[in-house]
Amino acid sequence: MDDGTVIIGVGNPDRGDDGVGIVVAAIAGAITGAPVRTVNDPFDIVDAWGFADRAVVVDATRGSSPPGVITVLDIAAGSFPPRFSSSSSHGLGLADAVALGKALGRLPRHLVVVGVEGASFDGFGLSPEISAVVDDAVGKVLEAICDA
Amino acid sequence: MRSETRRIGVEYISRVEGEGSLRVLVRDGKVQECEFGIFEPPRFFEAFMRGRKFTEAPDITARICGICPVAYQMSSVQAMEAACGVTVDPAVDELRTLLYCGEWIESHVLHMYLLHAPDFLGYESGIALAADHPEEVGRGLRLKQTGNALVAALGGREIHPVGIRVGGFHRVPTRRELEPLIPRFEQAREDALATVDFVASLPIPEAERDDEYVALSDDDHYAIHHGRIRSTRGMDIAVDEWNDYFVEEHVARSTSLHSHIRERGLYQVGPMARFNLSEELLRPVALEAAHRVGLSAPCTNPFRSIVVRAVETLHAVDLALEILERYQRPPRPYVPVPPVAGVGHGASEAPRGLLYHRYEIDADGRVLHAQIVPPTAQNQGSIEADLLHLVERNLELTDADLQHLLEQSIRNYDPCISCSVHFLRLEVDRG
Repeated sequence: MDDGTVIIGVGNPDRGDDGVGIVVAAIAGAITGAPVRTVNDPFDIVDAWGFADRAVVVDATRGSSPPGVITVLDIAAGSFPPRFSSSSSHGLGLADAVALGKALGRLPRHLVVVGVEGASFDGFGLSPEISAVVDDAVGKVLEAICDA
Repeated sequence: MRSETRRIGVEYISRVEGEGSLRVLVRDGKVQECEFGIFEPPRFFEAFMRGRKFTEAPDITARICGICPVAYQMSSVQAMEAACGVTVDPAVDELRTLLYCGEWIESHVLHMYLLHAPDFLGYESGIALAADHPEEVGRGLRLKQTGNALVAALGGREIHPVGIRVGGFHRVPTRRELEPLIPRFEQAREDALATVDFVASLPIPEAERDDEYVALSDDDHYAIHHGRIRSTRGMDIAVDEWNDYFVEEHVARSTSLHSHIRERGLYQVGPMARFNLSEELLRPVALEAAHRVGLSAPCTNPFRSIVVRAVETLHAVDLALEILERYQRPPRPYVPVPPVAGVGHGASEAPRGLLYHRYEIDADGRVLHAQIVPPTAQNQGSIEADLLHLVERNLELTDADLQHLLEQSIRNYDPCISCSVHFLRLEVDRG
């Protein structure tokens, strides 16, 4: 694995399935050896991928599809689809961070977002429904790295 | 003369935290209505607190706001420590100042670069601004991340930090853990200086307000979480006298209470209030930068609040750097705080202004009553007064231009609407 790839887990593990991005990124990083960054504030995403050539961002989504559905978006090619809403509880979401990185000319050449639709955003830890799709989401991250 | 009615309605004000609206009605050249409405659902945090342990207050009230959780933690722990008659160790208290600097930096920089600066330069968003001004917005990102890093180092994470507890911190970092922040803050000081110049260069509309400014004020420091409550019209009271001087009332158009000073009326809290009361106590580098760009107290133009925020950011960065450079790990992270039945008051300066907490607890440390007065609730009256003033003086503008000016004016206060709506009283009449 070259140094030009980074896996970024976005979310808050104390907010139920919002932590799925962090769990998936950690497993994918352990398998591939790619550096893993954990981001709680979407504002930090632009910094987290820095000047990496390839970045895979894993985040929870909410309201865009049934729980457990995994969406893979190749961002470098275009803009963020509006239906893919971030589950951030703050003013700036993942879509904003990507748009900001693009405006600043700081998008990785290959940027893939793996979104996992959450079931519950309360309490600590993942819900059983989302725990059951973690391996699939890890697989999508590995595919994204290999395809990049 | 032909009768003319103009209506300007903004159902959802963008680039503010939370859900607010604006309604202006002008009839025959006279302003009939000018309302800054808050329709974010009430959140009942004061009621949630009843029956909870006094030690839970910092973690529960921090959830009121994702932008200024440290302010809620700080005001609540101070109130609980006051109720129990405990004073934290000076070294731990200074660490709290350091944490609060991180929050000021995070919040001010986000507001200046991504929420407010676009108004002055005619952009619809911070992202659109970034496309044409990547160097400036990139600098803002770097500054914000430095603030985030500081909050994460002391609070465990950058949003909703969990490090603070009644009596101190759960854990205090080693010097080695904080040392990597020093070069980042040296860079941040340069970035904060450049930010003062950037925002001072923005085309700032002319406006004057004859307002009473209220803030914490300390004799020795630019007050952040210590001091008395003072105003530019001579108020000088202890924090525990709050309810003798201030009143909160419900107005129909808002799920947030409005505040005023008894028998005096509207007042304003926030960066301009702090600056107008404590300008001379700014760090020298911040005071010099303020004067260099022509900013001095009294500052009464609300549109210049963005410049004051930049000066306060520089102050916070410089203060944080000094604390980091001489940091030695405190010998103990917290002092034990046994509960004592009684009432405690706490106040601190959230990025957007004075935040007051009052708790009554029993001998077991259960909360019997909670009162939380956030800055945006206190500023609502001033926001509306500004809007009225601007509409009356700018009726010749097109609706679109007037709307832009009014939204910009609301953002002068960096309103945090989510904070302001958690205390509406719910009364159920069951016959």
